[in-house]
Amino acid sequence: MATITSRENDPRQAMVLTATFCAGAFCTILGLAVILGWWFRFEPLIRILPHLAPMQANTALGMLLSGAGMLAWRIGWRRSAVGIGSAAALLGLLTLVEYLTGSQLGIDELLARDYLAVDPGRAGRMAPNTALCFLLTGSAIMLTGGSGPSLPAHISILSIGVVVTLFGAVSLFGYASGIDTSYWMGNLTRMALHTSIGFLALGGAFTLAKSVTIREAVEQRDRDKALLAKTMHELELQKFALDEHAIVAITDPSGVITYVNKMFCKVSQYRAEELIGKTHRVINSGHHPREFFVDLWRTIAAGETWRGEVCNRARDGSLYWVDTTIVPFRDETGRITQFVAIRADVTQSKKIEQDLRRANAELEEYVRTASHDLKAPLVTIEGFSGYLRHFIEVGYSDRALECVDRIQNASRRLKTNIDEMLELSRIGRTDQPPQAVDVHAMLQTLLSEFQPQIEKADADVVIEGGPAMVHCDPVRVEQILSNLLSNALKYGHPASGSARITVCTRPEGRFVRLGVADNGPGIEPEFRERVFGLFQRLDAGAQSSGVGLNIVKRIVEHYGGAAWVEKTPGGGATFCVTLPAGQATDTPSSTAKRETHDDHRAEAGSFSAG
Amino acid sequence: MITEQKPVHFLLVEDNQDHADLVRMSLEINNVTNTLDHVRDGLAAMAYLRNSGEYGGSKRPDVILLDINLPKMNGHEILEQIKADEDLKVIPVVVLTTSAADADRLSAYRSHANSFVTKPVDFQKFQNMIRDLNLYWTVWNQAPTHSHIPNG
Repeated sequence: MATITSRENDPRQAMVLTATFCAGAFCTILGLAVILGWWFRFEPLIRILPHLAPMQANTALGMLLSGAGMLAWRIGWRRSAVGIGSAAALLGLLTLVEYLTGSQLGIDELLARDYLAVDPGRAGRMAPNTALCFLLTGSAIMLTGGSGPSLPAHISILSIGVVVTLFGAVSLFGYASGIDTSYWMGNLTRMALHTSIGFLALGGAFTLAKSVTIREAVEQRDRDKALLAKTMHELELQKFALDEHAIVAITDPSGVITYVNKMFCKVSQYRAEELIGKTHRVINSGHHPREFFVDLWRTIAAGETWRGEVCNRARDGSLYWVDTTIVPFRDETGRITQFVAIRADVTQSKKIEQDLRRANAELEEYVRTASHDLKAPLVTIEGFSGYLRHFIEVGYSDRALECVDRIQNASRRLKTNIDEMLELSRIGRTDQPPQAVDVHAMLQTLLSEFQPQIEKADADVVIEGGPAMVHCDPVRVEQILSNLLSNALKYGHPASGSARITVCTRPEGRFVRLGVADNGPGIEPEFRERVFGLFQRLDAGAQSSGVGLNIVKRIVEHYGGAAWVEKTPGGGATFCVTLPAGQATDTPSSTAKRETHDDHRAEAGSFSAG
Repeated sequence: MITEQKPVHFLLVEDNQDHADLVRMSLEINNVTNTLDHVRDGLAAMAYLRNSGEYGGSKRPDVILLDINLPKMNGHEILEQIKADEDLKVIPVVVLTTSAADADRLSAYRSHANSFVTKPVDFQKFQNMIRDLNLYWTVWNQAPTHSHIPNG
């Protein structure tokens, strides 16, 4: 039961305080005055008017006790209130016992002789209804002082208040209507006029006080209910917000899932029914060692919160990463009742992290191989310079000249290497915005430029397919085409017969696929990836830097396409690239292209980034 | 004193023709009595060592001079294969490379390269190494089973 707070600020409470104080003070003074009336035989105080019933001295005592008891209650002297109340109740009780048993306990003329007595056998004895009222009023005062503020006590006191008020009111009504002569009524109106007014005041005060108290208790209960409802609602909203954001699961102490939210189902691709009743082993990816979960369980079983990143497996076999917090819930006795796991999907940031790591590794490899390839000509220059000195010293001018040739060649190669490396580093920093480029037309132009090499290689170059529009920087497209052509012309020679190079284009989804096929020795499957690596050469003797195909791969991937090698039907290698398809008018936005990147790589399954 | 000099047989695994010529010229200038076979990539090197394919009649080398950056199969892979082969692992391997990177160095030692030489930017140092190798083989030619090459 809620306790009533802030009495001072509540006008109803102020009214109750005033009413009970006035009633208590009135009855105290009334009782005292009538007792004095008896002592000094001053009848106006005893019976007010000569023809009315007198207030007995004991009644006056009861009234004094009741009034004082009420004052004590109001002031907060609880023990005094109980004592005084029990005295008043005892007075009423003993008088009733006298009536019921017809005995004489010698208490009736305790304070004063009843010199007005009509019936000598009952001289000084208060009326039975008055006695009953004192028993009730005394009990009520005892209750206020005794028990705590419990609802049954409040209701009892209220009931007593109503009954006492009724007794007083009926008696007063008897006086007012003048029907005191009838036996029954007369019996009732034997309660003195001022006694009935006293009871009316006492009963009224109790009724008022307790009805206000009970009303407030009810209001408090309603407020509590409303607060509870509001809290529940807020909790619902918070749960909703959490469910919108996080993956939530609840398990029993043994780890069996008892609840999963929608996000859990969405990310793991399992239905709730498939998860409830099982453990998290369903989504175990096998990524973490056993000790990882041993540590997790040790932490949460000890009642501590566990935090960590976990790799799980969705229904389709794909892996996802979740940033996980597991909180053990305990009951009042400290026993763990359930574990609540809240997770956030961090697969994307994990992927970025991994990409970054891979990019770093690539960069490291780049620097390593770049330094090697830059150093190689330097080693040559350095070495032959030494021999040059030696041959000059011993006077072998022919051999000295040979050394000078070597040094010059190495210097030229060094320059080429540096140029190519600079070219490589420019990819990604697109110098021109993508535009529609006709690969077919560009190939035709390139062929005339390549004529000397084609003649030198004694090759037959065929271009198949019609116009093919791609959406790229034209300079980059030209780089791709010339690198692939140059590659085919250098390495695409068959052991016997003449070289035949076929270039074909065809649309492939949102991409255009370009293939350059030769009829040369081909590339064994284990080297098909390596051939695109930076500074990778398969033919040791060839004059090649191992940069060209890597440039092709980087440009193509920059545009979201892929580069790979296939076997040419009938022998030889076919270098393939895909570039975003473009139309002269309607060009897809760059963001749309980016989204297609992963899809397309998945399609071009033969390709794998190193 | 050295009474009889058997020629030392080298296998040079090197894709860079200039570097191969540097080695050849150095041996020549230092009057090292030697024979030298040169292959350009790892596959060819393994075929040579195992007398397979076109290298059917190849001679077993006394020393392998191995470049690390090679096409098709890099030097580390070759080294691992040689040292995993009971027959070949006794042949001393000198790793030649332009890279002084620690990673390369460690990796080469893990695969039990007998010596590791950064390709000479210093001509004299390279000559010394070749001379040391030659001297070593002149003295120890009779017992090629226990291999240790002093670091050049």
